[in-house]
Amino acid sequence: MPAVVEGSVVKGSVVEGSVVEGSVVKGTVVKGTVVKGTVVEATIGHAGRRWWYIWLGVMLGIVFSSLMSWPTQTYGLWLTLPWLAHLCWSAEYRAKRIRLAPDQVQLWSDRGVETFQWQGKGRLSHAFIRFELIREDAQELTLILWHDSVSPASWRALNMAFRVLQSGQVGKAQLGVARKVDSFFFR
Amino acid sequence: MDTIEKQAERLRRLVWHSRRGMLELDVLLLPFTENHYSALNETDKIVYRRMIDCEDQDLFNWFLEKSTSPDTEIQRIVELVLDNARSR
Repeated sequence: MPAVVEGSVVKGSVVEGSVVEGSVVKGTVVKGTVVKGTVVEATIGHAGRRWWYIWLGVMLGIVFSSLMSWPTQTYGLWLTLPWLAHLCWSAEYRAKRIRLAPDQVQLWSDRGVETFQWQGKGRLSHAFIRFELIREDAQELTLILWHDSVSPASWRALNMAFRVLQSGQVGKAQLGVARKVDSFFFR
Repeated sequence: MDTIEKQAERLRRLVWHSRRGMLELDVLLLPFTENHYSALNETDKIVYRRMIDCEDQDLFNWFLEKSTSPDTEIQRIVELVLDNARSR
């Protein structure tokens, strides 16, 4: 039953695998929670600041290398750098939306919705969150979520969910290793 | 019927109190209050309400496991909330 609390809508939560209605907190969707496990959803936009930094670095590099190598030819550099930039751009997985759950991550992209397993591997920094994901066909994917590609509220929700869920996943992994060792020595 | 209404009222109030100044805490507390609070026994409900009254910064540190609550009962509820957040 939806309850309206000071402009924020709490639409409720899901019960065992049903669809989450979620709750809207300060304009960002923290898509509620399934009865088991916390689920955070966020829309991913364009990380403009990152490309601005890269563009600035490339331009400065070109200018300084042109000055230093003057009067030798620098055409190779002018051709190589845009090609490298294009290579990085095309190799990147561009997700439009993320759904972070305790043991899996769903990503919405131009290719549709893809589900990945997440075993707690990754890194959190002030500028980005890196997820080491594994697809069903065992293919690995490194997803980097930049701070400026999500709204501030989404960033905070993802940040908290990452920290809480990661320590849980790492704990499970350590428990799994301990059990394997136990079963090896004490069978 | 009156008791059910009172319980619903108390739950609504608790959901309201679970909305903190820190969005990080909302991610954990709101779902727990909405989904699990009703299933707790009376003792745990009282401890949960005590936990909700604690300072945001303390709760943040307890949930990130940077520190533990000096109150063992509250610490148990913190761990319960974390277990529920991490469970599949």
